[in-house]
Amino acid sequence: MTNVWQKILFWLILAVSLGVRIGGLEIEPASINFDEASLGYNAYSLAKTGRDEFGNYLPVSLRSFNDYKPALYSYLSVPWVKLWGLNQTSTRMVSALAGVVSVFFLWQILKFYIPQGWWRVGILAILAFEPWRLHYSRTAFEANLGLGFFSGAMWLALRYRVEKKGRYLWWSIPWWVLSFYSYHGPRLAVPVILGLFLIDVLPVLWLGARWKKLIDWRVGIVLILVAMLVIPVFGGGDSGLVLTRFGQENIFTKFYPFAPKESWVPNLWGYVKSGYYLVGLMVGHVSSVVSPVNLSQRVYHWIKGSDMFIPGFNLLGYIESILVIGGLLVAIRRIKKVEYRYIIYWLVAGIAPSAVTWNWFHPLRALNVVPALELLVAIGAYRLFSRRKHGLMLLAIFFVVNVPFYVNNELVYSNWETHGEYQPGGFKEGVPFLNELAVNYEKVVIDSPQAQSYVFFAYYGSLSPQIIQKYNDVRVKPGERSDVNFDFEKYEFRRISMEMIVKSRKTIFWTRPDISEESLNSIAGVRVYPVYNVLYKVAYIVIKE
Amino acid sequence: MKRSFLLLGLLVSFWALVMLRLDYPPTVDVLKWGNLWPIVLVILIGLTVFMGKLVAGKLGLWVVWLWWLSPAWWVSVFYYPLQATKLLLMIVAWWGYVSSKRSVFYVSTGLWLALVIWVSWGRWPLWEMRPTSQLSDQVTLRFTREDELRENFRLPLPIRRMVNNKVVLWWQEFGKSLVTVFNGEGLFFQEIHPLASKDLPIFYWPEWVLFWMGMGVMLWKKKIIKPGWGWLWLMATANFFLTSGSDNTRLLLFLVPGAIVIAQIFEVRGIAKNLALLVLTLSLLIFGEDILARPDYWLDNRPLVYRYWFEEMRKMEVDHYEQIKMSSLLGNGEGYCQQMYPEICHKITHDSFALGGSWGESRTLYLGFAGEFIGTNFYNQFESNWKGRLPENTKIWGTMKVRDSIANRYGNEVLVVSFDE
Repeated sequence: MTNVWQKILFWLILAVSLGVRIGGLEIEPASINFDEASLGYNAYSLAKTGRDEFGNYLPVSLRSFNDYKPALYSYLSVPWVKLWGLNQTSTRMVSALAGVVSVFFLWQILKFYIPQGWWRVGILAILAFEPWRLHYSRTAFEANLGLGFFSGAMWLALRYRVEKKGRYLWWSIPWWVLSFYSYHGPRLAVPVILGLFLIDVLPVLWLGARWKKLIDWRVGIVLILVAMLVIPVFGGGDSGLVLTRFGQENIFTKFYPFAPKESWVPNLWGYVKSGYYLVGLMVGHVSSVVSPVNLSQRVYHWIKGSDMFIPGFNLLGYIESILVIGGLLVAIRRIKKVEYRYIIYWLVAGIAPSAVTWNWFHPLRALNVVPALELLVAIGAYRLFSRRKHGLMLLAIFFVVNVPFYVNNELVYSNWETHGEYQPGGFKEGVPFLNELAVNYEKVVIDSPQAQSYVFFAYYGSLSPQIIQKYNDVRVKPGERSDVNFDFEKYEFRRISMEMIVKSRKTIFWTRPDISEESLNSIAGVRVYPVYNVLYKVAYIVIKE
Repeated sequence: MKRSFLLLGLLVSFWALVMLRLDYPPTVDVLKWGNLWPIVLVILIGLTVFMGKLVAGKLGLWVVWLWWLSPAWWVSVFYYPLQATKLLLMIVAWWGYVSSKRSVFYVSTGLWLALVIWVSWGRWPLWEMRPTSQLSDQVTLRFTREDELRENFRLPLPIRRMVNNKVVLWWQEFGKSLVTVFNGEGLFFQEIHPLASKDLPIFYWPEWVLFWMGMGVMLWKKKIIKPGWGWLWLMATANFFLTSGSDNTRLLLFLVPGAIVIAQIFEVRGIAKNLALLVLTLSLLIFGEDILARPDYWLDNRPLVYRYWFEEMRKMEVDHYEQIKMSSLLGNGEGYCQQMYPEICHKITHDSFALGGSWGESRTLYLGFAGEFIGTNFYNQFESNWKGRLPENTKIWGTMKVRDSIANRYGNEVLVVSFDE
């Protein structure tokens, strides 16, 4: 009977998880960011024409802003775009569902670590609503999709190792492959984790085991099969450009010579110092991902202005992030057991992309590691409280003072903190109106601080993909410049001056808000419409007859 | 054992030479409490070796070695006597605990606690974690912000009340403060700190790896040195929440128990031990070179300014001036005057001045920051030719740029100036 109630509770958690992930996607986060717009618009383009915005037929990678995004997210969005049209809900739905799938796999994995059912349900009830789980599921992140697949693969791999049933390993193959096709992070994490499963290195280093016993040839076969199945990612005409993102973000070019420049000279000692600081940087990046203060509280400037920003948090709640350390100590203590070694390997593989990219702590790049950190939270909490008399009561109190706060923080409060930053805002509100007006005018001139603002006009206007594809030849080539805007049809992207408005005829302008409404109204023959985002004025639509 | 002693001797000699070569001007703490480093140094070396050996045998010497490896430890001994005293009392308390000398333990712990509390009197971070009346303002603020949005997800009011209340907000604030103690960057990664913070390394970055390896050794082999180890963590945590100031100041005491964990790696025979020793020696050499090349990057810049001002005045004929106005933006420089140029202290007025680009008093020597002469700048940025904004006939006796912003909004350039009639 107890078991039944636990199952009911589990499904209830899953249902509520689904509800808080898909509810109100159209309005929270208030508006989409440029990457979401690109994923959504390319889904729309694929749905309408079978080609991306550049006219590439069924591509594996989307050229997008010349950053070559994995295309799987857009393909999976096609049904939702067909069903509901191109809007924020259809764009974010895949990420939201991937978030629920991740929760399901977390539950399955928890079974290996938390033997007591009530504790397992209680811990899942908290972990399913951690700040990062809500935030990353409510924004269109390929990383979150990749994580869904990666979690599935990890669950099956764990079952294989613990239950020693080969079929689970074979079943894991599509999950590894799909995660590889979903996001850049798993492209490093998958080979690393499979490599670690192939050669179980820790027992050799620390437990005195023999090498021969530790090589699992079946994993080797899986590794080869996965490698064969992901060849298309690196094939095709743009194969070299698939690594564009890594070229832009890697640690090696960004920080060279790594040592303090004032005292560095290019001699042997200088290179020794370079090596010392380079390895230090990489180790530092690794450490940052398991640091409680980073996991919960310290918001770096590259997070603050980005789509990763969660008001008040980074990834986990404050106490949960402290429990990571407790769990890590337990995992180290029990490292002889395969399931605990497996967490360490997961940490290593998940952190690998962070170690070789320049940001100190970058939640998105380390996303694959977060479920492993949550396992540590679960283990830490279970070991600390389960033997106490009122342990479950404490867990329930913990749930009450945290989970509703996390939900409210993400669904209600966060729009106040994040408007106008990574979500430029105003486009959602203004573009449909602008497009209606544009029918009767010769030209639309747009002045926006966003280097990719064209995509918002294409997205919110549901512009025919054939129109955008026509301009393929005039688009900015990879590596040329960061401003990827281009003029199409009657839309022009340029700085607007008062003089330009005065001299023009039959033109609509989309201006920045730093031109005052009074000065615009002082021009003869203009009509001015302010555009608001969720909180304040962000642009003006100016009509010059 | 001999090798351990030899390595410890080499280490102490290396650092002592580096510190003497640095010849950095005294900090305010040194001026206030005296230049105690020779005494503290001798006592600490003697005590640590004696107690390390007593408490943990051969491994104890490695613990001591790791303490003396730390730049923050050395700088505390030379420039921050109160911090060094805290370390000293902590180690004595540990010894008292482990060797069951209760009176030693209680007295040293009591003295230690009194010192910790007294140093940051009334400014304890722990005090900031208490529930306050400001919480009700925060509750109102969150409701207001949520309602202010033109379009937003609407959760039922009872749920919003359940989360936007003083209890929940206090709990979140409490958690936020509590987690700050788990600051890996502050402890291990100052050499490559992501926020370009420039506190002194407490541990070198390789010690982060060694720490977790040492933890592994401890957990697998159950070689937790002695029961007092847990007490040391507690003391370091208490110090963190009772000390205000930089991360470095607050985290310093974690050096003592942290080194015990790291030292476990020297229990492992073979390559791990030798590799650890090699890497740590490399860390020492690289940092030693760096601190000698960039002392102003790693150490407090304020003493440099005072030294500069007094050295400049020694080159001049200060008798010509009736009074000397010295900026007090860095605190009262009276102690520095007594130390560096006592003959002229009676002439010096320690006070900030705001000339705003106009003439100062005649027969007066001004020592201050750029902003005190031409007006402050909110972003602390002054154009390269800002001196053109000084009145004509301003006599600039000397200028020096400091690396850090030690007087925000007043610029990073200090001057010695008089106004000729």
